[in-house]
Amino acid sequence: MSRKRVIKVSVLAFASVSCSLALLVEQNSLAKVCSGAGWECVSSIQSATAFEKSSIKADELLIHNAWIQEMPPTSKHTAAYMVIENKSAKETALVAAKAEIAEAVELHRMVTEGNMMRMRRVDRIPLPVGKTEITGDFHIMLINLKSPLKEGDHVALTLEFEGGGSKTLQVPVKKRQGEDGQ
Amino acid sequence: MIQKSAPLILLMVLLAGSAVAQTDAKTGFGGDFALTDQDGKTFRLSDHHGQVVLLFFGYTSCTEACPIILLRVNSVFKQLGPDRDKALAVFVSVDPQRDTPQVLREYVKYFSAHAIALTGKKEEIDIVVKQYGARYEIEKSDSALGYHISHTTDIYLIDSSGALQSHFDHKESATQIAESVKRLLR
Repeated sequence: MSRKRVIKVSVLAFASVSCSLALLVEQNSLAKVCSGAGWECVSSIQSATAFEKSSIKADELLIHNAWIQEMPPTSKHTAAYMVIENKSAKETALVAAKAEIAEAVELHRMVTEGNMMRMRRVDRIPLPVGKTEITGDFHIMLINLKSPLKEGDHVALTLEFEGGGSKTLQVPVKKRQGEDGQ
Repeated sequence: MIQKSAPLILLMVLLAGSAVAQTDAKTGFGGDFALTDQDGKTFRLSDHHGQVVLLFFGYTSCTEACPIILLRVNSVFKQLGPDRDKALAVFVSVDPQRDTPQVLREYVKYFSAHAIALTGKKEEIDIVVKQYGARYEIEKSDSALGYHISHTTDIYLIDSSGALQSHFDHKESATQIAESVKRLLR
């Protein structure tokens, strides 16, 4: 933990509760993300505040394997990826995301038509009951980064859901892996 | 019979080769071109005869398809082993407005040690895009990016004489591409 460079951010007011260390999302570890003390901390704080007007409870939306792609230092943009598990009984949607590190954060969808790759900005990413992969076709675009991000950094990313709920996570920056896993 | 006709077949192949020069006989795609590389120098495809070239189009603000292609190309080069110096990866930016040589230099250096990145005037780039049968469209968007670029993601395989041999779509793996490159190097 102390080895990692944590990006300072202003998070929603409730997140200043003395729990910021435990808010770190463990890298690529489903078990840790779901059952670790850190995740419980996120849920309990946010269910009390950010989800009070939402019909979906905070602990009914779990976020797994969140990461942000390290890009070359001259690149101004990058993307965040994750799997969101909707454990409630009804569909909801991711409707916005925010991060202090970027001038704008948008929901994007890459559509492949034949051999043509098309990029689209979307207003919402539907989250039906079960797991939704936001891992490429859907992605969260961080535009005009205020400073380059390097592997090992953590970025506070606030996800806003339909109906008024939100969650703030510390998302690790990682290198994209090639087909050979390197 | 086979032995007798072998010289004739060879002659036909040679004639066909000279007739099509560097374009694909069936489609008419391919051929020589010149653009500016990431160091600001002129890159001419015909200066690289002797090397097998993997050519593809993209832009550096692309966070999805382009890093995936570059990492796939990187994997191809790893699989080529000692033959990797006989091949070259060429990334042509279709976004000259944002992709300066400096931006391109950092981008390709980050993703692949084997890739050269090219830019030029839009008209020059458009000629190469058309020449290889690739496509791209600049689309205005309400995104903070200002515009998106839709583009084809094929990788074009050019043999050591500069002739376009085939192309690979996004479904073809690095291993399949590496095998095709190796066949051309034999």
